[in-house]
Amino acid sequence: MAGTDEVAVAGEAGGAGESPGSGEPRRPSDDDIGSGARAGWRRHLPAVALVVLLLGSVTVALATSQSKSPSFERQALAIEHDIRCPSCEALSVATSSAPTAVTLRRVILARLRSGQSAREIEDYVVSRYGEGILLRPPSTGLAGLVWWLPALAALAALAALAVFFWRRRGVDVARPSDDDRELVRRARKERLGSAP
Amino acid sequence: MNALVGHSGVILALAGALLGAAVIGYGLLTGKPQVVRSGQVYAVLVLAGAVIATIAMERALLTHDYSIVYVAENSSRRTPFLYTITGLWSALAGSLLLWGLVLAGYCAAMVWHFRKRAQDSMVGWATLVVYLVAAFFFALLVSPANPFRTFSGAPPAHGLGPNVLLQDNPLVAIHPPMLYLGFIGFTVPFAFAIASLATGRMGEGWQIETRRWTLFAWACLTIGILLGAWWSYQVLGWGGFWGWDPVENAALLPWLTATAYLHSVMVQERRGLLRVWNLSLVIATFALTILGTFLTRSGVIVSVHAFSDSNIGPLFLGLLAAVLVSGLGLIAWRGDKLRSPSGIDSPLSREGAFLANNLVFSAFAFVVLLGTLFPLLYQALAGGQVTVGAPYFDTMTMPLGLVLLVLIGVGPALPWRKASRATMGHRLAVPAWAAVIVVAACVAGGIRDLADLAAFGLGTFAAVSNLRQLLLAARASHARGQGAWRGLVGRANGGMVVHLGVVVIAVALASATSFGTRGQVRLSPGQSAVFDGHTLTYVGPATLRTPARTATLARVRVDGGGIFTPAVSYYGTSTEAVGTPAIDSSVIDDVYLTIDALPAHPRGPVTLGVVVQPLVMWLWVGGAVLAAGALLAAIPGRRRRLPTDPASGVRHGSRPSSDPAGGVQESPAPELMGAGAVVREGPRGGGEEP
Repeated sequence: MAGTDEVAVAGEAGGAGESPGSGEPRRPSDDDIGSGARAGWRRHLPAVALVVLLLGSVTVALATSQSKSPSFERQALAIEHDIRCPSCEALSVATSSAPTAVTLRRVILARLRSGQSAREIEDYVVSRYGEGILLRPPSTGLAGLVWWLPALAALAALAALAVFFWRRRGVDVARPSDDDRELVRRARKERLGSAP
Repeated sequence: MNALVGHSGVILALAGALLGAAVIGYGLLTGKPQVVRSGQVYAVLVLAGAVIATIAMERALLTHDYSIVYVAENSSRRTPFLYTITGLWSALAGSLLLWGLVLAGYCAAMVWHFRKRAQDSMVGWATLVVYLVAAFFFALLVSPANPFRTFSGAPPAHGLGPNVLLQDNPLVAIHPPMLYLGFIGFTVPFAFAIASLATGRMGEGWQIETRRWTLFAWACLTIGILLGAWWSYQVLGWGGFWGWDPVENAALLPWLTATAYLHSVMVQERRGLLRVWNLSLVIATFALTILGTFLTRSGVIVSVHAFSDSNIGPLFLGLLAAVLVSGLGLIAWRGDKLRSPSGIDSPLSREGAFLANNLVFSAFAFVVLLGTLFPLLYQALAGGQVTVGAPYFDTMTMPLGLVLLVLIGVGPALPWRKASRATMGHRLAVPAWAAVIVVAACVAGGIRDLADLAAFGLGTFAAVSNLRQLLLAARASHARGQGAWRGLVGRANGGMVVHLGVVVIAVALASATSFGTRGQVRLSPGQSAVFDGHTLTYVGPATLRTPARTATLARVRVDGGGIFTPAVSYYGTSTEAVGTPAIDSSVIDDVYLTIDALPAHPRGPVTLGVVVQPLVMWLWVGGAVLAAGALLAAIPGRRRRLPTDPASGVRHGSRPSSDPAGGVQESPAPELMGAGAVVREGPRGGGEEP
């Protein structure tokens, strides 16, 4: 109820309608600002500064990230998260403290140290416990559908929406007619006792 | 005796539901309002039967009436009082009895709430639907899942007691009932959705009538899910709070669709759009609660939370099929009446944001549903084993979560119909700057992972944007001389508070999962070790012996302060050892201790499992904020809506404030009127606040 509690007259909301529950004073429309005192490129200065600061931070974060050559422990942890603890129901080797999990952690670390890749270690674990040991389903084959179906569904939904809005592009937002204004005036009079 | 009374209660409730359904059905089909009215009374029978059955079961549990199989299996003389009471919902048949009780309660509350309009066919249809659902559950309780089944031979002298994990933490007393209040509460909006389809009164009336019912169910479900996470964290001993376990997913699924509905319903109330969509969401939410019940009670999935194997699975599948077929069939039948009078003008608008919100929530629900069911489907189709675990769900839902944070920030700042760039720039400048400054600070503080930076940045953006809305609302109320606190009340403002709770939870989730460390330390008595900045001193072992529990404790001093005692416990007569974690919780981080290996002798070393996770406490704080927000949203806010607002045209000749019944009574089909304004059932007609 209060969610949509703005007083808005039919059809008027096209411009700067107000946000819920806010008593924000009416802002001038974009035309007013665009042709106002702050003309030209200076108008965009804050936005540019914002983007520069954001991109700068992200660049620093990426450039100094130490994931280039992670330690064996770090690599082991990544593998452990994708392998189910053989004696548990859903916990990964990384999170379980069951003896089988502790043993597998040791095995994974030892195999990494002996130069095996993550892929080889996972293959080894699968050969011992079967496909169901991997918590991350494979991305190929029939099992890969679990990854692709949501992506396809999302793309289809987005495409449908894009088509919808593209079709509606140019459809004029209906303007209130004089009849509408008269209706509003009458209704307000009925409700409030006086026409605004 | 208890068994006889209880079973009679169940039969009484079933008879009440069936008779009520028959009477109302007859009244509706023959068009006799008086008969429809008389059919509502049977809700009293349903409630009485459910209450009698529940009391009989509790009495049997408390008096250790082991002639009843359920009591013998789920209570023992050693079980403490609290866990004897909660024994009602610690196994399959009893939990269905609780389900029946809650449903009977909702049914009676609904009939009472709408008692002045009992002749209305809309209310009649809704009551009929609730009766039918109740009849299904009480029929289950009569035979296939009869909790009052007695031993045919001599009853055992001792009971087994509830599952040991259910005797460990008092949250067991609140979490399941909250969850059930949530699940079952969605029966009410579902019933009204079906009623609106059946009566052909497709306006917004039914949604406005059931708004608080939906909100209440949603809030209970949210709190129930969070309490469940809290329970897992305190009991299960792996330091996590969410495992993407099928049963957890089963609770999350209806929550996702219900959350989507709570948002998109505003688009329909305001603009008359998304009707089919909203009906589908309500039906989907109810269907998903049934699916969840099926998953947890049929034994098709393996889960720590699942109930034991049983043969009632196919019955739930039957109910699920009935819900989906009738729901979708009715929507198809009413298709022409459901066409919206106007469209969405621009994607950059409040309704556009709600649409995006719904898209994301639907995708979220699809991912969770697919991931939960995929192992079953794969086994059926390809015959192979595949596990869909946390890595899948984390990878798939993380981007969706980030998009939701963006929407939480942008949505409330967007006006209806169409936003201009200048408006948005003005409203989002402060949140955007706050977000970028936080990202820069995080990078300076050493955080490198892009997902974490995005979570913290977007969390800040969303929080500041919503705080700004609240501040503006408070300022506006203050300016009206109503007191600034009024700016917190009402659907929109309460919604902003809920958003803040969600942001707090999102930030806590990101930091706890990304920056947690776990490991083991092996300590002899008196020895200390430093783990992730915390000093742990093993003081020595201790034993605890109560009638209900025998435990070996490890006394561990954390950071030179208090003593924490992780334990290995045995409950009742069970021989199953249960690890009981101990948690040193603070606003900065939690130190989570478990015993991974007991000392071989009292002076020997103990192996402790240690998990240190930052900001975990804020998950629960965020939950409390969220619950408070839901409460604020339920309180009527300042009503400024006039019948002339865009979606609510004026009905000629209607008397705006003389119809306490609200919108459901009259049913003018919405029609196009001038500037996209819709004549709709006039729910705002009555009871306007000054």
